[in-house]
Amino acid sequence: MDLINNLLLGFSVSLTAANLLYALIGCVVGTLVGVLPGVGALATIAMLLPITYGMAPASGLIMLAGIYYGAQYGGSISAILVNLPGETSSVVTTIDGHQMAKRGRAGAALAISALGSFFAGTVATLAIAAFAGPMSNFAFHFGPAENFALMTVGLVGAVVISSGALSKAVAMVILGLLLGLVGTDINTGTSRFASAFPELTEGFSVVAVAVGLFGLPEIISNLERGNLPERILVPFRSLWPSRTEMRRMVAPMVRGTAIGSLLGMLPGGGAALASFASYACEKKVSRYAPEMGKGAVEGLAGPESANNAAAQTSFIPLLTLGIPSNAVMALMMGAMILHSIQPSPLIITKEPALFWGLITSMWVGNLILVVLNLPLIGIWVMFLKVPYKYLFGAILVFCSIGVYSVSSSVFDIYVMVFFGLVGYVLLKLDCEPAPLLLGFVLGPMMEENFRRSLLISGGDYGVFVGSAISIVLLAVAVILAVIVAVPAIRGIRQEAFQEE
Amino acid sequence: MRTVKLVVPNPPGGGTDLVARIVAERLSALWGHTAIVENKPGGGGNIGAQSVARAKPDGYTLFAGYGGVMTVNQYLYKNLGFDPAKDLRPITLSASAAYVVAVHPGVPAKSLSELVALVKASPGKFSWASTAVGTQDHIGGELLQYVTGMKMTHVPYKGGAEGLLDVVAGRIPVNYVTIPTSIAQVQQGGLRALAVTGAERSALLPEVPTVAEAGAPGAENLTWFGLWAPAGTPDAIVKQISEDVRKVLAPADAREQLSKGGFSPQPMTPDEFGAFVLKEREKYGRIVGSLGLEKQ
Repeated sequence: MDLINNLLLGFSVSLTAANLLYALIGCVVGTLVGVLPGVGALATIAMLLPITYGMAPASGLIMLAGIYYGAQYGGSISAILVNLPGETSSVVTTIDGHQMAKRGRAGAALAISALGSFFAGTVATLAIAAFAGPMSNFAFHFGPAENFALMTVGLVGAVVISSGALSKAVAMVILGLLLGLVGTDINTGTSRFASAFPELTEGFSVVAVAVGLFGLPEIISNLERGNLPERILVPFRSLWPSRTEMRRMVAPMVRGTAIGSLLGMLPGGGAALASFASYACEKKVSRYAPEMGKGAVEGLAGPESANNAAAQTSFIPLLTLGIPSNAVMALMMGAMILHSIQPSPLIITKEPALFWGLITSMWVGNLILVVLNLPLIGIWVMFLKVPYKYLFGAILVFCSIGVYSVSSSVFDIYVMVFFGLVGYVLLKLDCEPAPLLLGFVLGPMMEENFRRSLLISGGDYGVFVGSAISIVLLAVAVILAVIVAVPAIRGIRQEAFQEE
Repeated sequence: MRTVKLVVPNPPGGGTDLVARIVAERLSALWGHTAIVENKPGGGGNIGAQSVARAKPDGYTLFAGYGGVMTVNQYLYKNLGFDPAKDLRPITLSASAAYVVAVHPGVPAKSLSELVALVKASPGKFSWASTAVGTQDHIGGELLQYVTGMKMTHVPYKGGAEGLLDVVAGRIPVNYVTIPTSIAQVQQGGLRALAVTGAERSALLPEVPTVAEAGAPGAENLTWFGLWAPAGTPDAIVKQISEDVRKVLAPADAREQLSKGGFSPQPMTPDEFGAFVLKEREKYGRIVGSLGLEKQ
């Protein structure tokens, strides 16, 4: 079996003492930067990039990759414990993860997140090892028109993930789309709504918006109650998921892994959509859907598996086509080039030890993360015993540090505060911030892909139904929209009848 | 001892940041005290440049910017917040990288002149992928069309790699992107390289002719990175830093480190660099003027 020989070759590289140590360092650093909202893998990898020049190529890449998925896991910790998503991918984690924590299941939530991530990481790593070559062509089938269709599904999905009133969810998505317009239009160079602040030339910082919308309103509403709660959460009973919780996490984990593995391979928006897509999927297929939004295992296990699977498979376009699918992958490509390794299908034959070493190290890294984090759950949860009067100040400080560190911009801290106030108003109005954020992230990409499709087709709108993929995706969007809209419309009519 | 700050007008990652970090790391070693990179992105690079223009002119705050901020931005923005000709004084160029003009292998053109003929023969049929309007990539591609007289529809992307995918997939025939971004696809046949935009051939793609060799002299376009100091910085300090950068970029391992990223080190004296910037500014001014972009 070639695959087994290849994996053995890979493990002979990734299991050397030095490389294990680098994987460990990467995972620890990644977890730490991930826990701090905002301080993400991107900035950390950029700063450590020149250091790897002095290391063996495999060691350097293994360490940087460790930071990347360590940060994915670290981001879940702050999302669950204090409702702070550090990145777009952990926004969904806050919905049910933080609710679980509030019900005293913080330990279980962290364990489910770790186990789900490990399962997804294992499957995705195997998928890369077995199918990286054939799967690479998948990305080629996604042109601007297909991406546009995919994002349309994403927007309808944004309405699905909300558990409140339909009209409010739609309003939030639209508000998000409008906020996404701020900045410079790449097609004309026109500056939109940014003339007063040059800092807005590139638009609002996603991290500042996410931390502001999710983290701050929670703090404001806690403080508003006058006498501060002793601590945020009810005392926890057990650190471990119960048998029922374990049983309920299996199916969402498998579905999340499948969704994440596929979307992760798409350049641009794929990985960001993965956790949202998985949540929307659970909401439609799970028996426990009515519990979602109130701390359901499904709403946590699915998205957590999806975002980790996507983080792994986003290596595929880089390793096989030499085309990075996101900013972190562009940096990984930079790191490879610094070591005279040109990412392309040829590296599998030219540098087999490095290629398989890197792939197996992903699995090793995921194992290290589980081994490292399961025992640490007790310590993370202890953190919640700190009286709230001390804790909220610390959270604010770390939010500010994190938001600032993304691009060393003080302006972004003001943006965070502004969206904190916006989030507070939304909280009072019973509007959910998750659809807003998804609209904000997807809006600009949708517009770009829409206009790009028309530029390429010379203005022919037929391009949007020009391939099977677009047609299927648009059909899914329409069907989803109908499923969501019909009960709501019926509901309104019933209300109308009752009033008569 | 005080830390020297190299202000980079981009977020971490990307060419400007990478080159600045390499220079800072090596200057720290030479000086025996720390030189750090500080990222001040936003405003198309203007925010970082402005902050250095307003800093104390003592040599402890330097601008590690890229060509576009100092040569193109004044034609794109109504209010830069600084005067690129007066508020910052040139120290040295540090490194530069060329672009590659490439086509999808299905396009019958085997050379740049064949492509020009093909595009001219079927007006309105050809499009080219590059980055956003007003970037060095876009303006370089417009320069190429201006020089050769061919006209294609520009399809802008946020990053060069994203556009590359659509060219390799065959949706867009022509690509104008940096050498490091496209080299993997050129080497494995996903793209056919027709010309590089440097004055000399690239060490990474030695068999590909320059634009001048391919019949389009004047279409040269480099993305380049340099150092500037606030206007009032004393001559002696500027001269010293310029010499020190030359010193730290001279060793073989420094050249190798840069060339692997697709960059070639090109230190200059402050006077040479000043003249170079002026020439670039005039060149791009003409092109931006011909595009009729409205200042923002």
